Amino acid sequence: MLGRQPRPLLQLHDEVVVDEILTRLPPGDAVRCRAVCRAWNAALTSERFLLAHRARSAAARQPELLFSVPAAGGGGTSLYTCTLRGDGCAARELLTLAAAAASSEQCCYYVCNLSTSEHVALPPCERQAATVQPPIPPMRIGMAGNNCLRFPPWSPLELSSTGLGAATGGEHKVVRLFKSHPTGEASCDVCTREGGSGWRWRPCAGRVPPPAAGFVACLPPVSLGGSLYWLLANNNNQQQQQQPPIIMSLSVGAEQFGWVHMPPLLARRIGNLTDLDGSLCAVADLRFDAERYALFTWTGSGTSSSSWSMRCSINLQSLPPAISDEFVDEQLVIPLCTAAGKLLLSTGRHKVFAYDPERLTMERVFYAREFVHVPRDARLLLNVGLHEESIATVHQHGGGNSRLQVKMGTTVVARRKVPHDEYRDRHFSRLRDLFKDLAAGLPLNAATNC
Amino acid sequence: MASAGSGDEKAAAAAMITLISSDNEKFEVTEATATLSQTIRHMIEDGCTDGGVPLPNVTSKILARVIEYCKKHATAAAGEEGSSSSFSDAAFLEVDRAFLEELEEFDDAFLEVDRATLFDLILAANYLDIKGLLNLTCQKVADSVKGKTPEQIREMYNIVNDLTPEEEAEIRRETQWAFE
Repeated sequence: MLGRQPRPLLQLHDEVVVDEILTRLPPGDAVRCRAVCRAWNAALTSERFLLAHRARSAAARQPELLFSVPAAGGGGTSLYTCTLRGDGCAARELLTLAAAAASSEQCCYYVCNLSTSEHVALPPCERQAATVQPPIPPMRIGMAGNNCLRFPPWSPLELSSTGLGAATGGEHKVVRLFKSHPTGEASCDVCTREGGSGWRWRPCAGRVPPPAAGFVACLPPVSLGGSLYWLLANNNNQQQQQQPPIIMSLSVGAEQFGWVHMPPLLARRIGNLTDLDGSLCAVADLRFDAERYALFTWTGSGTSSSSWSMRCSINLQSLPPAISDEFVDEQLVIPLCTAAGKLLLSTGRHKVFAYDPERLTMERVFYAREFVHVPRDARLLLNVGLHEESIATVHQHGGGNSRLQVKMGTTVVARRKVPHDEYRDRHFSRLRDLFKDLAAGLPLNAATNC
Repeated sequence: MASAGSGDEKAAAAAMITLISSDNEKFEVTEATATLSQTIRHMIEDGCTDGGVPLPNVTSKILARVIEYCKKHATAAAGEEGSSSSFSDAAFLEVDRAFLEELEEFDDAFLEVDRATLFDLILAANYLDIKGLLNLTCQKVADSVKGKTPEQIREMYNIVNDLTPEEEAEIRRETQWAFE
């Protein structure tokens, strides 16, 4: 262009190229650049680069939602991501998993990087968990809220709770808590990559305490700061009144079980646990006594003096009815993260709300049905989580046979208007309105006409 | 371009800094403009800017462009501070939006340079520690790499492939997903 030789990019300080330019690339491009030259291959595979890349994408990130729906055409599951920016937001298909071993008798686990679709099939579990065969009574499974019983979306249903945990040193382990008999004790197996020989299952090093049997089937533990956390139903004494749930922890590195103390009065009200901005967070559903949700976070992880403190209380009565009504028949509310001072809450009905604790306002920012068709009888446990792009590799080498059919997503779905909440449980909300009106002192005949 | 904040210009005029390029050209700039560079800000704080700031790594051609960028963005920074007290005023927000759009247009036009100039701007922004300019220019290069094959990147930036065919094949095997 200027009549001189084009300059090699590497003439820029290598540091500038790597730290300032290559860290800005999306995961796929960054990985592809490894084949450019030796220096880039070395730089792009370094720990330093991985951390810098992660830090830059974290700083630039608007929270991205992740949601799953049955794939079009049936059979598989599609995962979508959606940023919460502006009104004209669109959802991007990440990938579609073909019906993975759904018909198989044996339980299979896969570890998959959703950004890259790289995945590994874990070897078959060596010890089989008990399954419940049809007809299955409604039971507490997956993310269904505190006392909500539901019919399992598939059968036979394995009685297990499996999660991916990261030890503080960075090693990842798959931890599977399961019952070997429907009424029996819990066992725990761990799948690790030891000595580079590929993934392998083995029993957990720590002894599994008896209350572990109170786990909720199909609900993964919360993975946070080198530990996994389960909220356990505590029904040892079935004659007595129901005991408050208890929180069990497992250190991923040392594989030792422990407990997180929570005052019993508070524990009684806890519906679920989650990771809120790096803290263990418990959601108390106080709608029936106080028309509010309260979020408690746990401080003092790793120390003896741990304590719970109220992070935020969401008073539904202070919100406009159009919004508070949306919570009437929600069984489940899970905080996702805070972004720009607002708290993002996902709900069991595939919505996400942004709550502003300063101004006490709430708005709905996402509804899965505005993007995709969500069937009533979906054969998967739908939920909404957070998505984070990552170029982390799952180390295919030496894993089991890769039997998962993955198709990288190509479609972008625009948001569309949908009729107002087709799922509303009319009976329930009428009953609630009736009680409300009674409390407000309306004449009874006026109330019954509703 | 110099429409905003004319009232404050007299006060700022008192503090002028002289920047000296590698080819000995002198540039007079306001302190507000110069301190977009963290490197120069530290020099001012240390009181070693009397007699001008020599910048032996930056040519006059590049320094002129860098100063153009800093002038524009220094007025933007001043505008932001000024309006923050009345952020709730809808009219102000409207003005801000128009100004931000103008700034974006400026940045787009600013990046219309040949590759050699772009690299020189990156080096200057890195040396002078001007965050906004470094972001802008590096993002431009990163965008140009997006979606390209390794061959295209090598050709575009004149990078010599020093990988053996075996090494390259191995890398491609490991990163196969990224090529699909």
